Amino acid sequence: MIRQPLFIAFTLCGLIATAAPMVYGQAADAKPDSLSYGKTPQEYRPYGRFEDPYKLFFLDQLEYPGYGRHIPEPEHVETVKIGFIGPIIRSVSESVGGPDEITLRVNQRQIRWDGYQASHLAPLGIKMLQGAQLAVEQANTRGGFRGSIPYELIVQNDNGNWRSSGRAAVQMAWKDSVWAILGTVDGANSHILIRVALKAEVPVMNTADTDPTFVETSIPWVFRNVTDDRQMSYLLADFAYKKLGLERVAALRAVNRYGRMSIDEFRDASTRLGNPFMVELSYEEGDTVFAPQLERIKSLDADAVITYGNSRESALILKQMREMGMDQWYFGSDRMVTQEFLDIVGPDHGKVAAGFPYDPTSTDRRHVQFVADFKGRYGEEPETYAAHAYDGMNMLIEAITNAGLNRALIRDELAAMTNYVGVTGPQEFDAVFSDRSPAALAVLQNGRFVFFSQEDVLAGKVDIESPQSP
Amino acid sequence: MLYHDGTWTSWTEQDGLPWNVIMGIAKDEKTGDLWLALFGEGIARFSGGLFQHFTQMNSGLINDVSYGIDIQGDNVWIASTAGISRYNQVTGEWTVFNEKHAPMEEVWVYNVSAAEDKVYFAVWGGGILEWDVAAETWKDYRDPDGEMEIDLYRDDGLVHVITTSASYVDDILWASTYFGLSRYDGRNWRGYMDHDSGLPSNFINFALGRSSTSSYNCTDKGLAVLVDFASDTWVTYDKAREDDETWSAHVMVGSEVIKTVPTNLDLPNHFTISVAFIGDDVWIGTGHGLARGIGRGYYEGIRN
Repeated sequence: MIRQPLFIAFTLCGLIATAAPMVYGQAADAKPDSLSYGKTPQEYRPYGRFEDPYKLFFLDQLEYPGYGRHIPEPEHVETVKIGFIGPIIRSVSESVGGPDEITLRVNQRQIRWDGYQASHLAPLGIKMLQGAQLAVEQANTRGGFRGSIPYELIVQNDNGNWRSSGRAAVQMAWKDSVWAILGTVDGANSHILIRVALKAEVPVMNTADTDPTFVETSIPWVFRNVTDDRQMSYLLADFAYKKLGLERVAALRAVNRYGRMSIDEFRDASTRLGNPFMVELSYEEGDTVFAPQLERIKSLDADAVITYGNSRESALILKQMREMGMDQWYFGSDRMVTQEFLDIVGPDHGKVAAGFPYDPTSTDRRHVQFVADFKGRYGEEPETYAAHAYDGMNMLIEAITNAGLNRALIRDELAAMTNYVGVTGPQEFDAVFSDRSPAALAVLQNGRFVFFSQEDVLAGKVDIESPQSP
Repeated sequence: MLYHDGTWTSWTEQDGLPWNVIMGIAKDEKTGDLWLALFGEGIARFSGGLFQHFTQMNSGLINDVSYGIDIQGDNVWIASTAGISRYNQVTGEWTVFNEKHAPMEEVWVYNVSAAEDKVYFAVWGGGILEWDVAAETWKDYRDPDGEMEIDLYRDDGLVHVITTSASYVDDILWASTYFGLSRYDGRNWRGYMDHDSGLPSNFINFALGRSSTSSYNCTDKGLAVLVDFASDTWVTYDKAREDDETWSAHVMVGSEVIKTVPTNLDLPNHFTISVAFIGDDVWIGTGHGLARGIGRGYYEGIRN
């Protein structure tokens, strides 16, 4: 018999190749239980009123039963490399080296970048990088890896075009040979990153992408230390429908992936409580005029508007609502809890609330110390992206310290960190390694956001009768 | 690497291979050329001992992060992280398919499998896409319940939208996901998971149909072979314990083990990634080693 030639693809390196008290008339079974993925209360479960699903996923911790734990450490390394990918170039006009290349000013080293690789998410990514870098610098001050080898941050820009992010991830995994990667912000880019990480078998810590589906892919190399839009949506829905008793909510969201994916859980929660959206309208990123959509919502006599989008557009929508005499509640995502939002909306903001992944006004000693260290290092205040990146990078460093230089063992260490206390508070990781610590509710009062815990909201401690504007 | 008549030959970057990380290989039976999906570096054609490199910069390739490649007629189809590219080898024309040209909720394409009249794509988060070669139309298959954290009914459609491969054999579509396996005969779907079948795990890296009744499924915990669809008979190969020197074969009906027999397969890890059929033989790629199962003829179904 003539044997056919066999061609073999070397696909991978190494191949020969608790629930708070329930109030406001909730059903008795509203609290999550052990068969509840994502701490989803019974009333918010998909098809929960009609049918028990044939299969529930994400209840057992993800495993990695593959090869790699026996790979010995390299005999000599000058630095322990940790990858970072995030949007860090705001615009070409910030260039110090001309339009073709600019210098990253916050990195440990001077790195020049293609000035055209800009992203509107850079303000978030730069904070993320600052937080990650602060953690690395502090670890090196403590002696680095095993007291003598410094950690080195290998930085890649995520320019918002996810077609290039995948390649950047390949670069870090195979050419830079990083031991773990932290990143990124945008949901699409983050998905691209973890698909590469799956094939490269390198741990990824995400500290900024709140897309619920990010971890719903069964990839055992992915970790997320920020409370996601699922948790924030449940709290916001509890507040809107159970506390405020609203029934007529209209949505106006960004047409991009963030707007499309992040609103899902709030929309589903609304429907499952018997209050489906009156209408769901959209806008393009960068839009500045929302009158057509707002006119339609006004004609529907909605008693609340919810948006998912970036800070600037969210603020402009609110400002134009108020100018049109629309004084209903305005809800949104954590991305609108920014100084930029406050600056645009001004004093006549009215009733505004948003989900938020933690309490940034915490007086916990860890948080207070972090804020002081951050201000000392960068001369500015940290915020959520910096704080979560700081925690995430510290988790990576702790995992590397415990595991040594072996990606599979680093993954195992991260998987074992089911509870972690960082500057953003206690974090509780579920079976898919996503932080399920309770979300906070940010309520705009007298020109500033005031943060309430889940318990505060459920116990009716959010004072909604006081003036929402100065 | 090439195995031919008992001899191995390898090519690396030193030999002109553009990039060592290869996610897929397809052989053009008309030309004899080999096409390679390069992870992060586009694709390459190996012809006449030379490599020709195609990237976003020098061709119509939509993205350099290539996950899979296959040939249908004159066309080379590439599954990439930004959509699908098609290269016509006769006209030199490149065509791009993404959310603007095909029913893609997501465009992260994970694998491609070409048959005579159809080309199938596993789209991460988007289910399965089917290209009808004659009609030049798209059709998409997704999980009907629309939820990531559940499968509402077993046989209502694709078990999940996180798909990893598709294989079309004898008018049957086999589709693997990280949440189980699906079989579709054009009218009825059948879902398989670790609690109701011979699958040792729902995490399936790759599935390859051998006939309308049989598929080979590479899971993170061994190779699961659905031997006979009608009787739901499986043979699953794995290392029963970490310190076992050889793998075992478990003959199962549904999820019930009927018999376990030892094998001489001694690869150190049963994280299976790929499988291929060459004649009667079966080749299995794992996370640490390659195995060849020497066949003594193939027949559909079971004899006893």
